Amino acid sequence: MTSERDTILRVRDLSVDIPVPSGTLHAVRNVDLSAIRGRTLAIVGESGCGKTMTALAVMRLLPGRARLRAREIGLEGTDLRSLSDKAFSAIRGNRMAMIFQDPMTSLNPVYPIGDQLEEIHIRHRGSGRREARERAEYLLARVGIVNPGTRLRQFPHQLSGGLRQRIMIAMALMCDPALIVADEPTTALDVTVQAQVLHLLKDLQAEFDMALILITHDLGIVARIADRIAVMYAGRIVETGSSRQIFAAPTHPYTQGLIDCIPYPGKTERRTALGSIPGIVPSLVGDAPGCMFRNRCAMAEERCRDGGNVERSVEDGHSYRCVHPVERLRGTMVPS
Amino acid sequence: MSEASAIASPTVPVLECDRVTRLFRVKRGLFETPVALRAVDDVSFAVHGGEVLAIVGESGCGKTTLARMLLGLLPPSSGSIRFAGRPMEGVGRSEIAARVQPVFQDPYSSLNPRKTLGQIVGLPLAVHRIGTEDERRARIAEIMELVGLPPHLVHAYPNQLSGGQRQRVAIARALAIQPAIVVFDEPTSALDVSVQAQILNLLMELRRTLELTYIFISHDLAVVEHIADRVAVMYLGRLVELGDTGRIFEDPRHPYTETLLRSILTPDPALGLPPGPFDGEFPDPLAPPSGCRFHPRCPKAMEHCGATAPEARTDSSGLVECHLYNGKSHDR
Amino acid sequence: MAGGLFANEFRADAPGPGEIMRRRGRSHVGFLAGTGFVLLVVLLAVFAPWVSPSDPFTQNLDARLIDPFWAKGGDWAHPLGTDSLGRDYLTRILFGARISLTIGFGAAIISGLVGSTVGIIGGYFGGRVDAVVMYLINVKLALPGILIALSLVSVFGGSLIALIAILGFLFWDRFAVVTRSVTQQIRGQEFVTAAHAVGASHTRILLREILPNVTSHIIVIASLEMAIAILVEAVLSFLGLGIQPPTPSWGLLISEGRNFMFFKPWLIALPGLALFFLVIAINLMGDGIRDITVPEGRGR
Repeated sequence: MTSERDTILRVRDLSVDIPVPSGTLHAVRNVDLSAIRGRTLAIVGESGCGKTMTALAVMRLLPGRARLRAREIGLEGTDLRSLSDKAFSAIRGNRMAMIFQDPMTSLNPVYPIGDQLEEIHIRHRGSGRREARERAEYLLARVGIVNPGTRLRQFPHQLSGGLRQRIMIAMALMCDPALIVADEPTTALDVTVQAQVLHLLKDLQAEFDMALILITHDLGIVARIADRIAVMYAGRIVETGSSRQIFAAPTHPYTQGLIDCIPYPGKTERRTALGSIPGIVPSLVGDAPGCMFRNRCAMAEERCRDGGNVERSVEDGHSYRCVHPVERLRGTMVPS
Repeated sequence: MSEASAIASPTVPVLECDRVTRLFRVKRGLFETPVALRAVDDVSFAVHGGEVLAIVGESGCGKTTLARMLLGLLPPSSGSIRFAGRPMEGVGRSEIAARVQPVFQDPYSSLNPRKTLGQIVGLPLAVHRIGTEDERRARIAEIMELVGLPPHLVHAYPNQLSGGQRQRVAIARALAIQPAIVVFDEPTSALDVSVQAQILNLLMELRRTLELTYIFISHDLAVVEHIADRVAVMYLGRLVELGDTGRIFEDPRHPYTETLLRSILTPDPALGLPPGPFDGEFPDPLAPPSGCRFHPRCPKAMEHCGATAPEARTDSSGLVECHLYNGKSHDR
Repeated sequence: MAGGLFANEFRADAPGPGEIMRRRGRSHVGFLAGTGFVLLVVLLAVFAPWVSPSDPFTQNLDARLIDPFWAKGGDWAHPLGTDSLGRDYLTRILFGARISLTIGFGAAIISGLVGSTVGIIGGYFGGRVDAVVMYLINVKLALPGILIALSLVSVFGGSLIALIAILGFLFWDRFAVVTRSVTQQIRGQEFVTAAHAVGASHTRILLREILPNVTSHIIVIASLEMAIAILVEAVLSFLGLGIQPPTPSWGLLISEGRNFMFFKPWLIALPGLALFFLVIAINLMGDGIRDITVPEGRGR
């Protein structure tokens, strides 16, 4: 078990509401999370499930209209909710950093890479230009970039997508953060480059002893890299557990459906129908008591309408939100 | 007779590429002379009726350019494309359209936002003046039902639909004119996984019921493995390997194919990240490496790989373009 | 049970593009006010012979320069007074609206047709065609437009038809610039490629696929160009180069009122205000159309 000291981030009861013309959009509802030193937490889900909003809420980067509620957002013992914007920006980029899907939009096109990396170190650490440059060169070499000195003088458009994503990772590491949040870091990359970048993230995490929150829709990545997994659907975490628990014994019907959806070379019989989840995600606008998955769920029944969000535990560290007991879910849904 | 057709069945292929090359003139700076980019370089293969041929490779490998040539939207710089044995130049624009239809990646930009679904699906019928108005309406209803769109959506606009539904509309438009071949360019990569499965199931079912031939361009090898009969692997404009799906996935021959297969991440937590190496950056397509284009990244590169380009070799298990199989060493 | 639970699988209950625009239009104050005023002026102009108190050309030298009803000496027989030849001023202004609107619409339609055709063709075909289009636009931008208009009017005279034609050919460049760049964006979209792959002709793609996506831009520019054309006509008429007396044009009314500016300022103020409010209303309407027709986002 992990001690209190190793829990880098603890989020309790986080909700994000966004006012829209037709009411209130509940982007995130009552989410609990914790990120442990040296471990990877993966938040998985499809578009619109609230995984990115959760990350942005933690980083205080939500769009202006969004409203955040939480009982606790604690980073290394500091309650982030009580910090002023100024105090918060001393932490963001320093103790915790974020890596985005599209590195092109998060790098400034008119400044050389080097200036952008060094500025972070100078701002947060109060270091001199020289010290910052040394740190930048070290990290660029560390993320596998040959002749870092030259690269530091280049501009973002002169680099390939894979290189830019490595630079984003180096940028996140400039101040030796305790937590890195990576939002679909490899989605825009080719498969071989994706493998390189994931290796890099994993190695650096071990080297710098960081907590990593990985946000992705790709179950393959999650299975290979995550220690713990939180499956989100329509703003809620519907199932959470260790990587082994989730993939060996998926319990929530949505998790089971998601795993059945992806072809698995060597296991799924070729050219047979894949499992699929009928229908589409319901509207997140307005109050929705009950289970949000019920309109797509094969097991839906009347009581799912209002009582669907009880959290039940399968075993230690593995829980799900569904009215049906484990025996029933396993009995009907996992024949294979 | 092209090399690729040597492995073809005795019947005439529905579509055939014979040493197809496409160059683009690219200007790097304002005052520099344009450089020739060989987007597709000397590619030959045949597509047989009823099969699913997947074309895989990373961005910049030329698969989208190849698709545009197969659709007749872009003429090859040299080489020829044949439909059922007839050279494409002799086949009229509208006949090509009646034989090959595309489905694109982005379900948002592939549908005209100002048109109703009925108008979008009916476009091929209107262009080719097929049937009376009533017959067209019936055909549109029929095709929409076929792809799983409820009939009342015929008056809806694209902005009223989800990504998966839009992709169904794009499929319906492609099928309205009853083509023999459908070219899919990354048809599911913009969709959520649960929707991707719905669309893949639909594609497999449509192929069975309508006896279609698919050319399926994708970077998602797990999807390719599931749906394709044969796989063509492209690297920097070259066709480097071609063979049956089962053989390619169990016994890849080209080192690039091996690298690609190793990078598939199956959802198995016991496996961890695949072992390397995945070294090297994708080279600049404007200045491709000498000799074998893959040699700077190739774990099995030999001395002469950088000097001479390997020749494509075709045998019973397909085509491969690698010095390992040129009989000079490592004879299999 | 499944039927009810799957109720939201297909969301055709979401509004279509037409419905979205109607909803936006109904709550856009500027658009409603501008369009309302423009419609009012159009109606008054169309029905001028019936709504105006007398004839715009009938002179009455006994009743010259009568003040409007609110001033001392004014009366309701001539609500806005009379001009220096004793013609009813309200009637002259109402008939003047006909001239302004005809010129505005006419010039906007001609310049819209010319400019949009040139712009869409250049943007769609690209390459050499586009180079020619860009050359034409650059030549047009380099020419001193007003100066050429002045000289053409002095050559061809100030008939209504001549003015419309001259103003129409004066203003096409903005249509060309905007439609060209919009077409370039649309051309790259996959639905255009799909139409090519279906075997559709260039004409069909231009008219049926691209044009519907450019129309809202054309309407927005047309409204702005209309306002400018109305102003330029007033200037030309004021200078004596446009509409010739006794036809009532607002520019001409201002010009005629000049001599009495210090004694009867309303002779200038009334047509001036009419011009001012009409131009503002048209601009409000144009801005409104732009806000209403911005494309719906990708979101659901």
